[in-house]
Amino acid sequence: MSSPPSTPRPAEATLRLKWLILAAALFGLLTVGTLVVGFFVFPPPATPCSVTVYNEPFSRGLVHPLIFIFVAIAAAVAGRLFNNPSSGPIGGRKPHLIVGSPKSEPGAAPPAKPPAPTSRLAQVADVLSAVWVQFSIWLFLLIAVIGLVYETWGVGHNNDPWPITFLVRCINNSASIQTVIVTGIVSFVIGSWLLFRDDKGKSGGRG
Amino acid sequence: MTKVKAVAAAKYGVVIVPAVVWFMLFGVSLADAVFTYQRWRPIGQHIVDWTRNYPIWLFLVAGLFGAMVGHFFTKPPP
Repeated sequence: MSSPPSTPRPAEATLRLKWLILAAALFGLLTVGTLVVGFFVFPPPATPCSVTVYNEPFSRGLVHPLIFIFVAIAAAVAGRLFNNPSSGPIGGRKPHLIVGSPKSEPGAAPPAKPPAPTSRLAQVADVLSAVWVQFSIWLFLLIAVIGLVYETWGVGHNNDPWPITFLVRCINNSASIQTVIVTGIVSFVIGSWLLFRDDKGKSGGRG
Repeated sequence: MTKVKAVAAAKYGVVIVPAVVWFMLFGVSLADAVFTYQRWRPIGQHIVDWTRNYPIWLFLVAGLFGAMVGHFFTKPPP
């Protein structure tokens, strides 16, 4: 009994993904090296931002607060459009580049269901993927719990040590441009995940 | 710990907080790239499926994120 034919992987997309992974790994190593060297060679100043007479950070920096709201909303919408392209080179013509749910072209035949894993290696790969996702969720929730405990501890002790809110405002006070850029990146990722388009072409949730 | 020491200790916090956010994004992006290359289901696909199945939780998570952005950056001046 022959195995079902699998869709061949385009060589161009494979090469592009290899470069993407290599670039991401190099970028990560550079980031780690910069943080380590920067922290030990150029340690941050004792008072990293301006503080009020109550020793609390100023809540505003160079960027107006409304710009943060605008950037967050715009980046979330951009993430949604990026993840659900209606046309173009990332869209239906090359669905293998879509991270998310591929959208079928109007009038085209419904996409065939992926073949069931036949080999032992394919089954192990599927299980490994699910385990990785569960591990990622566990790690994310663990970091969130640690952050909430620290936040509660700081607020419950008269902001001593500074809660995370104060730290974020301190960062915004001393590096507003970088803060609004990171806010936009996080909003882009969240928008690409949460503002999905369902099968009928509607966006957003149904509840 | 006095207030002055609390401010001085914040110099470590302003490094740790962005580092945690940055490496979470980096880790998820790298994992998504590897999963896509291996033709496994990416993390984004799992989350999209989750939001389809639990739309109310989707609204809660999106609202929580929006509230965090507003809380962090839009405090009215005293």
